[in-house]
Amino acid sequence: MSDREAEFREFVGARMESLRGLAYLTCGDWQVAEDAVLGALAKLYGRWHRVDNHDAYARAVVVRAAIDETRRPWWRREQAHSHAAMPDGVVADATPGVDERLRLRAALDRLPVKQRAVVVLRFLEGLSVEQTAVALGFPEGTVKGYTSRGLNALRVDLDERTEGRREPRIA
Amino acid sequence: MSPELPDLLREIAQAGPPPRYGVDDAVRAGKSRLRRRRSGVVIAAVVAVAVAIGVPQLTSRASGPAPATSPSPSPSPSAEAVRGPDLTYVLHGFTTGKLRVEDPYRWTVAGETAMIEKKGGQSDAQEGEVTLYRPGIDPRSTLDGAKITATSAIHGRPAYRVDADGAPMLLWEYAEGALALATVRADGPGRWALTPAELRQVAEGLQPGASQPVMLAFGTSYVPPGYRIVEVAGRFSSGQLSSAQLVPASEAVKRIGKPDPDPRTTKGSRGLMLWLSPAVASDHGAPRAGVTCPERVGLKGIPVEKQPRHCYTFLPGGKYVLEVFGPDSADESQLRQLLEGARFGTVDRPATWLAAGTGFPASAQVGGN
Repeated sequence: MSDREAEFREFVGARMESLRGLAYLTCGDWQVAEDAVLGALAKLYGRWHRVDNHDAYARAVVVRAAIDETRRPWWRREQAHSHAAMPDGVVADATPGVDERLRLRAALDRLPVKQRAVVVLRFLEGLSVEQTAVALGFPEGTVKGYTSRGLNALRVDLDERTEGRREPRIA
Repeated sequence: MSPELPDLLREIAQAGPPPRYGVDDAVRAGKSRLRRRRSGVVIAAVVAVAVAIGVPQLTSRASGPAPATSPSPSPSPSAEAVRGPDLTYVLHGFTTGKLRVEDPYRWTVAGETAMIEKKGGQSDAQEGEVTLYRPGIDPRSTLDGAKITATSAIHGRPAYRVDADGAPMLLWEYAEGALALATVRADGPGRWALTPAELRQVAEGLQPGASQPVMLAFGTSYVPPGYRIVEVAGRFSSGQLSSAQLVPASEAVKRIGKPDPDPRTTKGSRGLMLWLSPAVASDHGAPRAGVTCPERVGLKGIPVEKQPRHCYTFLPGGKYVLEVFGPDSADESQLRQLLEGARFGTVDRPATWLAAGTGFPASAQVGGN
């Protein structure tokens, strides 16, 4: 086994699960997310010795791939699938924690994909404005704007749908 | 204590199903990709791992200031558009310098789209795309916030540079009253896979030709009454060999003479989606004859009666399936009939594929009765 493969295996073992979660939060579909992660890791393997920060590179490629996947024609099938069946509101779950996650997931889905990607990178991955800007190729001002608008939209959305339920603190 | 957003995001991100891929899959995919790159083989958007990185259409929907300059051509829908477009392509693949514009892979009521690839570029992803809109269709409404400025004419017709969040695009009139839009894939932070000069090179090399039929790997002799074809695509990626979308006639007619609706913001049913792709044992089970319509189950808090309809049939040989997805209101017997009436070309031999214009009932054409 080459050094590259050994290092790559170690990296994938440690990061694949979190990259999958990042992609899922960005695109909203586990299968699409996994394909995006696998594609990003395949790309990383070929550039292993040319990339300084493997984590940042993989994160950027994954989230961009997840964004792109939402534009594919086949994605429309999945969207058709979910939109056709989507009720007007999110059905409450008896378990508060699950209910909160469902409501947040639904609220995230209602964000424009770029805002969603920014919110996820900032608040799941804990990236700074600068790091998020680099990952997505946006100007820092755009990241700040998307962060603000994304959080505000989540707050308004969850407020409107909470109706007295406990709501997540998002600011 | 109220849960924090990061905690909730983490919980959501960790609550997924068992992963389909592991470390070995990633290594295999990486090695496979490396082999392909070293071999210099250009594989148009096909990756062994069923993944392709596509053109970031997000750049065409950027937010920002209003267009500085508006393109002058804003022709009204022509008689052709009102009648409904034929299932044909007028763009033929061509090479210009290091750039290759492939034959179109996607047809919609609004136009046709082809990939742009660059010699020496990324082997598993196109560098850009070009969409030829039908006469009278103005795609500016899909470019909200982009900066549009006039540039020098192309073949004596108006052309415009489009800047959407830094992404260079080119909009030009490729025929009388007909606009084309070339977009580009992001190639890293602030980097784009094609330069404005290369986009212009594409535009200068592009000439519409004689109409050629849109080919698909499948057709069917039956489509539920009232449905019309609004999109077909073929050979786009290993996950999608051929597909077609049909919507109720009233919705289809509304699309004539307009850019395609953004699927993210479109309300209501998306109609029927037909999808031919490799069979997946975990999804479709062992190959068998006939049509299968899996029993619907409640998922994601959506009651079972609101779940969409889904049926599929294996192609001869069992390697591929044709699936149909429909809204919960769809009649399952009609979906079965649609699949029972399916005909197939040899998936691996596009020369055997069927013309979409004749592979479906005439009533399913946008202008059909």
